[in-house]
Amino acid sequence: MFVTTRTPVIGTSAVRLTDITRRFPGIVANDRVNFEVKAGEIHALLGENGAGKSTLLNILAGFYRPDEGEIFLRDEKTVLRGPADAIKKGVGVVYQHFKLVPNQTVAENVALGMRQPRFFLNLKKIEQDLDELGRNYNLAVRAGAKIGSLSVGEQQRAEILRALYLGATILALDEPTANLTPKETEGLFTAVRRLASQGFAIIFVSHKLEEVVSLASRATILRGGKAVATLELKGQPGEKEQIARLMIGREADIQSELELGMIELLPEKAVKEAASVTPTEPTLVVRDLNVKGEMLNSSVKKVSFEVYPGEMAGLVGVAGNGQRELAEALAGLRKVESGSVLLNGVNLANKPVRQVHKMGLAFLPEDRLGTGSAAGLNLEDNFLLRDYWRPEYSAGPFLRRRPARQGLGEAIGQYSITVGDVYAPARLLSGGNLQKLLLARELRSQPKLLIVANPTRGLDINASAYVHNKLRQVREQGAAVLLILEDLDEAFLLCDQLLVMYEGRLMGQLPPSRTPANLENIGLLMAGSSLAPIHRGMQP
Amino acid sequence: MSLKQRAVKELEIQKYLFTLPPRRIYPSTAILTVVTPVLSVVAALLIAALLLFFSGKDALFILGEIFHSSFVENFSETVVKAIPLTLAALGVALAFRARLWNIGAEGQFYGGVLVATALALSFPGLPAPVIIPLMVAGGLLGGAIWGLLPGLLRAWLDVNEIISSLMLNYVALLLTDYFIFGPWKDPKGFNFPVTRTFSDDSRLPVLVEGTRIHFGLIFAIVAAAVVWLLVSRTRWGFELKVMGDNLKAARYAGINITRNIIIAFVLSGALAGLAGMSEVTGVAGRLQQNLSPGYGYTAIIIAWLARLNPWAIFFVAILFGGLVSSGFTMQRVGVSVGLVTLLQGIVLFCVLGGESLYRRLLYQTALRRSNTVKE
Repeated sequence: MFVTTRTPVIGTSAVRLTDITRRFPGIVANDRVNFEVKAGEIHALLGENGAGKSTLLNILAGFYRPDEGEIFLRDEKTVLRGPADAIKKGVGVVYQHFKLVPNQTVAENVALGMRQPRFFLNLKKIEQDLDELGRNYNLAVRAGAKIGSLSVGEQQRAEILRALYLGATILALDEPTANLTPKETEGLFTAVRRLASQGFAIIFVSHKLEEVVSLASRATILRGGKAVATLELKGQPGEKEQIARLMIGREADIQSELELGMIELLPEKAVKEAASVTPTEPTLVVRDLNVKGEMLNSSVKKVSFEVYPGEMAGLVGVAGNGQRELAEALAGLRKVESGSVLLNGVNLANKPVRQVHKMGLAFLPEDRLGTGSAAGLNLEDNFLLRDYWRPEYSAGPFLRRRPARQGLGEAIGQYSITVGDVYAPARLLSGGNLQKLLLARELRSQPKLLIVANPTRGLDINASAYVHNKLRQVREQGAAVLLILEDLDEAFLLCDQLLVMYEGRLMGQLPPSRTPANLENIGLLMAGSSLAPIHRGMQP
Repeated sequence: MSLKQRAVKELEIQKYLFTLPPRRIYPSTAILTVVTPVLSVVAALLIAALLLFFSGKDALFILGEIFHSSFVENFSETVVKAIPLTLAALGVALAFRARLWNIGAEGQFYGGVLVATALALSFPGLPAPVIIPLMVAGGLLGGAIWGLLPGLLRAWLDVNEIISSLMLNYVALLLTDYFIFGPWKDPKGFNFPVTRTFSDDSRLPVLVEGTRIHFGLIFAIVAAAVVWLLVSRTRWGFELKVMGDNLKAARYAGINITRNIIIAFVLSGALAGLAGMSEVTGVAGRLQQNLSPGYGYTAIIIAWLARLNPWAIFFVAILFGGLVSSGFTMQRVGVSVGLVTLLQGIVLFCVLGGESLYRRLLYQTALRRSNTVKE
């Protein structure tokens, strides 16, 4: 079963994607992407969230078929008919969230993916083979152990071994180090290097620049669904900075918003003056906040910052570095382990959501359909979602629908929400219209602090511009605004200060100026590097 | 359409299937609301007729007999059966609104029966104006306690309520057996597992002279009105609806989910308990084995077919009441009782199938509608 004979000659093309385009409703996830990995090469795939990396991986894994473009495996034109077909043709994808059955052993998980033999399983044989394979590539795993009893690092090795055992010669690793300890990371890198030296083609998807420059020999950068550059990494100084710039330097969308006259930039001076003229108390003071996160790196660790009235602060960083947990903790949706959250001097840490909301903290989560709205209910219900308990909608135990209907009507008018039918479920609204509805709902109570996570994700340009303007308006009316942003251009456009998060820590507070030095600094902080002079290589 | 696209679409449809239909029905699909169930029942009858035909019976005659007896000749018996079905289905529907799968109406029914029986046997001398309200309260309480158990387990420990509520059905049933085989057995009952007959004062009065339709009918109508008010007009009903759609959004809305799960289960159980109380005091007049021919389970089907609408439940319950009471007719015309169960199954199968198709159509219409307004 275990195939080594197919490992191709180093330097030949292992996989080549030409002009791959994949569209989803309202978005082009991959836009004529060209991408090639050679046998024996470690090729890094980089990009911000939403740049199209996952789509590309899913195309390689056979989950999606490209709308346009061609896939060549070993210089042979191929159609991947599905995940099983991709595996058969030697493509193995190891996702960040493993696809293993927890209460089966490693060997059993491997056997799951096998087409042969049909009836009789020789698990002992598979276990022996896996042990040997593991030793050869520095990927040792107890093949007879249940997945659920393994550490994250071991599970990952099991995933890689499975791919190898099933004959993968092209191995894609999706953010493989996201949940690994430094020691495990080192072990993984040894294994990956060894695999590459034997002719395997490795695709390495990561956000961490340090890792990319120390491991990969080439890097392709995706931005807005397009492959913007492929760089040879030769270990020269400045490569990291160059990648950081390529990843975050997009201005196209913002530029077009400006050109269309939909938004106007405030002169920087005016903003600064306004801030200095009114030396007020901060609206939000966060002190030494600790919050337990979903993952190893997303726990919030000792975070402190302030947001002033009339200020828009942007919490930036790669997704999964604790921003979401921080926002949820502020909004009362997640337990605060320690530390304080003062809104106008009142501590809101661990207060119930409704009380936090009542105190004047409005929150729009990133997951608009899953959390921000009850998507199966109609617009009126969703308009009421956060406010139905207020006296204006109450008559004894009864819910007054008339003011709600009236309020919804006003909101639809004021925010120019395009709706087909107010009694249709909210999930049928376009992203932009839903976001407008939620904004209208949250702003109706005139909050003192508005927290919005990725306010324009998935929105088209008109809706984005509308949301941007609305956010500015809120700030100008004197409320404090805290945005969680993954799109740095948006952060530059909107924010008065940027707070960079990495692995749950606040790495630094930077001005939103677009000078090359500042851009570079932000990119470095986001990727976990310090601002000190940079040396190449991984520090464990 | 690629496999993936189809899968995504399927998922969307599935999501839609398990949420309540939108309040507004589109004109192009409005007619389907009525046509679908009717067609489904017709399809079920056709299948049943074929089945009878192939087993060598006069299908038309038998089906005609069933209809005649259930809905013309013995309509009052159908109504009698519909009373506990309505009450239990209302309870089940209340919990289903919040997407709490209370499968335990049968056990909650017996919870109400047990408390009501205990009261009736303990105070045989009390006059009706005292004992009947007491038994109503007892029935509600018994069902509520039986509903509280899975509710607490779900709310506090996140124990799957389907399993816990289902298992408690057997507990309630065996507990009932214990009482009627043991402490409550009628000493003059020739050793049959029945209790003494209740005193006349502790029987629910007959409502329609010459039939067995009892005062429980009023309970059912009042309960339907109360449940309707509760779910569609109160803030609490709104909270239930949000919970049923999306628990995360409910948390975001500041809804006290733990508390609401418990309350929903208590109310749901109380209604099933009232069904049990009215059945034991209104129809049987004593506690005996198999007091419920599976009312609690049929209630689940009724609640779904009525789309959780309290008033629709009432009418669907009458349809099913007819099916339940048709068993006797079947035997009279020489068809085994097993076939009644089969017929019920076929009806259910067809109606659920029709419902699924109906929602698909509705979803597609809604989608088309919303697409046409987008830029």
